[in-house]
Amino acid sequence: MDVLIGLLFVILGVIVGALVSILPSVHIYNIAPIFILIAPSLGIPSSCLLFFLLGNVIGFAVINAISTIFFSAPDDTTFIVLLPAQTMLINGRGFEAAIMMGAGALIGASVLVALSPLLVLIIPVVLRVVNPHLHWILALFLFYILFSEFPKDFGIGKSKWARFKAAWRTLAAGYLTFILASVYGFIIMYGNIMPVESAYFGMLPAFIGLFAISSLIMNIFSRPKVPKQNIQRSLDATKLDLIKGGLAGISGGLFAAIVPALTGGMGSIIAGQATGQRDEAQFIISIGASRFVYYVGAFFFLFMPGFSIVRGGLANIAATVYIPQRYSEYFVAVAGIAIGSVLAFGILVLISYFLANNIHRVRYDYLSIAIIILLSVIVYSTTGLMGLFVMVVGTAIGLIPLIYGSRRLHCMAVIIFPLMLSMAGLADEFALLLGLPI
Amino acid sequence: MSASDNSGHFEESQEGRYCPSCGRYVGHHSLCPYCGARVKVRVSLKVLAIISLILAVSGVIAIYFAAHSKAPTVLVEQITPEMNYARVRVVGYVVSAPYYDDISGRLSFRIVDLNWTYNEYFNTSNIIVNVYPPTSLELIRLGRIPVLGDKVEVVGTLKLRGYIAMAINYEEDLNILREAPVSVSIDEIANNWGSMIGKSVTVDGWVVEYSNYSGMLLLKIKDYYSTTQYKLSVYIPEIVYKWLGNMTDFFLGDKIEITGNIWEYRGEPELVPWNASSIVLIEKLEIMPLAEILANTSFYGEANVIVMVNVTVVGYHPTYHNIVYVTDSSTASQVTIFIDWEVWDSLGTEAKQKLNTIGFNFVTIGMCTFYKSSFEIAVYDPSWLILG
Repeated sequence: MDVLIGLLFVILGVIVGALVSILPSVHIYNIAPIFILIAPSLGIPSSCLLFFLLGNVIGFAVINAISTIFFSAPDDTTFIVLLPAQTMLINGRGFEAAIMMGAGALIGASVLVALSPLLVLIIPVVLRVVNPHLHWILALFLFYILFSEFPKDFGIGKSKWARFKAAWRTLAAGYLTFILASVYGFIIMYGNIMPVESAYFGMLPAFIGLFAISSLIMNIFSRPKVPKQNIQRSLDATKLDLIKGGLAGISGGLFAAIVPALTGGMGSIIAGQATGQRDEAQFIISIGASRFVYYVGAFFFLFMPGFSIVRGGLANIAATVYIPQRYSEYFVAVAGIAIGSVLAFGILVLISYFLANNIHRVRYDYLSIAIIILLSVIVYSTTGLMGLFVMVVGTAIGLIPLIYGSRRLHCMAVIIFPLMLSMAGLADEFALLLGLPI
Repeated sequence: MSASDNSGHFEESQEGRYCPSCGRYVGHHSLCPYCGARVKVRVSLKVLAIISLILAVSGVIAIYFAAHSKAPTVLVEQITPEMNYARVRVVGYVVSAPYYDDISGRLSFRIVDLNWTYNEYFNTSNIIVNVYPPTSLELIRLGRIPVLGDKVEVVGTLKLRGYIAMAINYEEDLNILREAPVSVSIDEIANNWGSMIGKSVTVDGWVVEYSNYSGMLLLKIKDYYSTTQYKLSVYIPEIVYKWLGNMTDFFLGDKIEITGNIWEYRGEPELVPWNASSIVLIEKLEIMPLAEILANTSFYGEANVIVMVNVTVVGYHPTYHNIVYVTDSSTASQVTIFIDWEVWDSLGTEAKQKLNTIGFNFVTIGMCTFYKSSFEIAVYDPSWLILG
């Protein structure tokens, strides 16, 4: 395949991916199968399709910041940045927040490109070493989620019971969220509840319910008034913030790309804690870098010649079509990441600029209702009525930490818990324990 | 402490004076002039909290009950990339001999659906079924492994790459749908095998060819008394004789009964035993007096009966030393033993000398045949000769 044709498809993919990703909470993983299905009828060769999909992921990884920052509709990787992003938006700094995340993504892209000659040597070895241990690594993350919850009372209740209740309110809500999300995720994965034609979209309603709709409902109730946004000419971040945030994000993103079920956001939180990250700017930058390395990196692994490394939802479905086996394709992908990320960043600046100038004109509660309707239509069209029901239940679970002030991280048990059981070989036993049909 | 920090208290004690949303003083306005929030008619977050709690718990319970449905049955042609990781049921036939790797513990075989439908997207009609430990070990222990031609019902998780694969997670997810076997003759199979594909049958016959390849045994069995003299191929994959029951000790010339599936291989029927125990030895080949053979040479020669004889060398061909004349105590007549050229060449000098020594006694298995109207017993494999 011609190098220029490969790059052309990456660029085309970035543009299409960016346009799709502006829509709140629309995940490129749920749109890509449509491209895969129509590609043969358009005469697009499988190898070119893969570069197009790489472009889609690059566009999504960069542009999806908009959905989180301006529309408060996060996904499973950005829900953790929702609070600082919303704070910045309320303070008229939405544009700055978007650019910070974009800067993080650019740092992630730079490092991914710079490391690409080494990654092809290192990643297969790392995967060989890590793969047999994934179950206990995931189990550790589950413990981390549980133990990271903390009481948020001030110990000022009038009676012992009042203090006890206040102390356990957030803890209990967190643990309840964890348990419900775990069982909910396990049933979705191992029960036969979703239509078989949409198995690929199996977790979509759950994620949309848990992370997006719950946030949007809170928007409707709190009716935040978004002020006119300022267009900053510089970022409230030092070079050290860029380096520290970028490094934490990259390490978190790489970790999440290697370990299934962990998302870039989660990887970034852990890497941030490991590197003693405190600053808000560092945090937002790290999420940008982490998301890019997580999404693009996981898909990029598929290009490693001779290894057929399939990581992440999109790689899984793309591998049904074509798995690159040539070094030339690998390095075209590297070039595609370099060029595509810059292009996506440019698009991010333009769209953020437009939104920053206009978002204050929009009633946020109405906007949230419109997004909920859009997401419901997407869920219904991909997974039917059962998908809608699953989304509603996910929303209810996702609301618990928001209302009771516990950590939303507990919702991640929806995917980590069932995968941990599966990798430990305990999924069958748990299914029997629940009395699920096998 | 600001009003917004403790809005609950303000709502109770100073209703209408401070905005419960932004905490600013609003007087008697029903809408906050600063943030636009309703001041009097508001939905308490408590209500939302209770609703979300009830909905979350009852929703998970409802999903739990919804999950009690069976996996849907699909045809190969219906499988699309979006069905990756779907748990589905496929009813069809096993079209490849199951392979069991005892190092990794992986068991795999291929199936087609009942209608042999073809998937245009993946360009195949086959699904590769993989079973991993501990399920594979359990299936081996239970002896519940299908063989070529078995009708099966498989429930598993689709794994789609450039091909269609399926992983079985539980031993209950593999059901072999075998009918009670029907006793048929080799002649019936020879005449009607097209309509018998996938049927369970019990057949008996004499082993007239026996080849031990790496990973399989290939036999030909025939009924000496049949009209067609058809030699039916029997394919015994490694998994059958190594992992599924105890194989009876049989060899060339023995009469055996096999229960298995009729399947097709390169336009010819073949019989695949269900397991090692479904091969039953009926009659072991024993040493036969030459007199008995000579009394009915037309039958033995035309049916190419495999015999075992204990004979003494009485002469050999002056030019072709692989043609040996023998007799035994049951008769004064002599019989020609033809040792195939390849077999003769493979013998050592000592063995050749023995076979060309008058009075040398040996046991051999051979196939009765006619060569230019003369009856002879032909030896086609070095292992047939027992020279003592």
